[in-house]
Amino acid sequence: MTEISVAYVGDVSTVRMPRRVDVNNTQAFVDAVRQRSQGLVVLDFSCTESIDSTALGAIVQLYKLLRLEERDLRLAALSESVRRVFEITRLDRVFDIFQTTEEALAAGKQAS
Amino acid sequence: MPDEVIPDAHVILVVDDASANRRLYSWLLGKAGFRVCTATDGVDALAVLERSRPSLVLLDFWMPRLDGVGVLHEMRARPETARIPVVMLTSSSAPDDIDEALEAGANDYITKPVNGRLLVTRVRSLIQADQDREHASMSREAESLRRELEEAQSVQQSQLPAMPSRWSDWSIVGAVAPCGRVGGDVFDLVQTDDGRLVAVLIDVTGHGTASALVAAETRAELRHLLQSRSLEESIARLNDHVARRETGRYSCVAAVELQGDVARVLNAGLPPVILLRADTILERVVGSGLPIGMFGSRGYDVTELHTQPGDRLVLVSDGITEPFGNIDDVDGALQRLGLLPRGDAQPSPEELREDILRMTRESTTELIDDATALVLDRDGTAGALRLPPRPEAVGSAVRWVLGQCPPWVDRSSLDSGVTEALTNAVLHGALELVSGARRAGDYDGYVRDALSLAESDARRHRSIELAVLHEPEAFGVRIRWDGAPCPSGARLPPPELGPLQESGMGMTIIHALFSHVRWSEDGRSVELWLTRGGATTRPR
Repeated sequence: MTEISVAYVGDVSTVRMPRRVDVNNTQAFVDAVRQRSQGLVVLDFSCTESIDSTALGAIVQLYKLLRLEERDLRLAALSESVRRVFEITRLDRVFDIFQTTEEALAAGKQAS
Repeated sequence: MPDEVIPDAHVILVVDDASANRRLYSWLLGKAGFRVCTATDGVDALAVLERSRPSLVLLDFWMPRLDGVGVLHEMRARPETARIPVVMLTSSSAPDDIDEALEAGANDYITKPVNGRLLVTRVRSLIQADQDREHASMSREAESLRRELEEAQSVQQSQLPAMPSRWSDWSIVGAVAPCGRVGGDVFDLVQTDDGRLVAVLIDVTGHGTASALVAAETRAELRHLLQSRSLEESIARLNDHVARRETGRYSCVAAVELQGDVARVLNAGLPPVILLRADTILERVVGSGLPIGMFGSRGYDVTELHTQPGDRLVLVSDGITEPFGNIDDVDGALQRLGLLPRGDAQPSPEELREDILRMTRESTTELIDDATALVLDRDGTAGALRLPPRPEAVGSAVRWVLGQCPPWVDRSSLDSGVTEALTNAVLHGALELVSGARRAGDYDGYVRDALSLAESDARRHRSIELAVLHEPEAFGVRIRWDGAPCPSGARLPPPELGPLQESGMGMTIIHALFSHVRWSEDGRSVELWLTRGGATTRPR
């Protein structure tokens, strides 16, 4: 199973998303977030070229779970094609999407 | 003028020692349209009969040297003259002569003095009767020969395997166009106990009944040999047996042994065996060994070819290529037969036979050799990929599609769209996954189920077929799967998604990224089209 790297800076966990986020590695990234993250979660899509609806569904699930724990989920550094998938599914209106992970982290600090 | 001219006038030999009589009969017969030659007595008559074959002999009874009865005896004793009708001229005052003449084998008699009209009538009717008899005998012989050939033809046809035929994921069709009623070309499909299928085409030198007999024997023997031996060993043994018999006829044989993806090809003396994919000839196999029966103790090579879904193998006899002058020009022949490029449909046996006949007619007025083609098509359209219903297979399948799209296509949209559609086909179609877990909101369970199902043995034989479709101003991808169909409600363009909805996103993505989505009626196949210049639906 694909290893998903998680970086911690203070109370923020940054999850590095794989090149393709699909049914093959969705389970791995869900596990990574649920077992290894703390505080604010930033999903770093800077390496990601494509994403499918299975992964989108899982991101929605995670978002709901984190909200129950009063934690926040942010998306950063989406490529044009990945951003497009979020736009198509209207999820761009649900999630906070940032140009870079730095921006996502800065916003997080401001919010908390 | 003669009142009736017999075309190709019959020759009458007039034999009489009296020159006045000869002149009279000659004149009477000539006037009636016959040609006449004469002889002055019996000995002279026999001499004439040595060098010419008249249609009838008019023979005087009493002659010096050799009389009429003597001539008759002599004529009936010689096979070449035994059947020539003879009219004997007898004296009316000697009835015993008539008996003697008829006994000696005369067909009829005329008493002197001769009545001209009677003479002509008798001569005509005898010649006519003789001709009728000859025709009858000839047509009786021809009729019996024709019936025998017809029976032989139906026996030979019934020995051919039923066409079209299916084996594993191969569709096989073959047709023979014999130049006579029976021929030296046959083909056969042999299924061995150890799970191989051997398709073989045999072309015995020459054609007609003798070649057909050799072909039938060769076929039967090969059938037997293949059961317990490899293709090359079977052919080597067959060669030894046929060479030992020394029939003077030899056989060119091409055979393909199918086992899984591998096609093992052997070609002893026939035009190249062709492996083609879409419009490209990938392999030509020739010269695996000498034709069967020329020399004993020969080895045969086998060429191993790897096939893919959508591939076509073609075996032809030289009757297909030879009329066009170049025995090796299979490319041209296949194009003329409509077998290259390979389209989606395979011709029926009748169509293939018609195509062969039509093609050979284009080159010559009649078939000069038997012409046979055997076509083996592996399922799947040209430009198709078959993948197992496993999530891991999606990535490489998407790359395969990206490698074939025209330059105007937005590759990232195509990537996302095909990934989405294939993933859905894997999860919902081929795996028959009922997403109960998804409905229950248990996303972990859903993904886990999907992954575990992908591993399960029960799904191992299922597959997804992916095909790219090129049109001048459009590019399409067809995804077909076995397993559960997409429910008809889900095939409609999806309604607006609500916030935080975890399902229904797949179809939303697919409809947004492609210009046109077309479902098959059975819900197991979807075509995703991108049109050039036609912008995909951009989100508002």
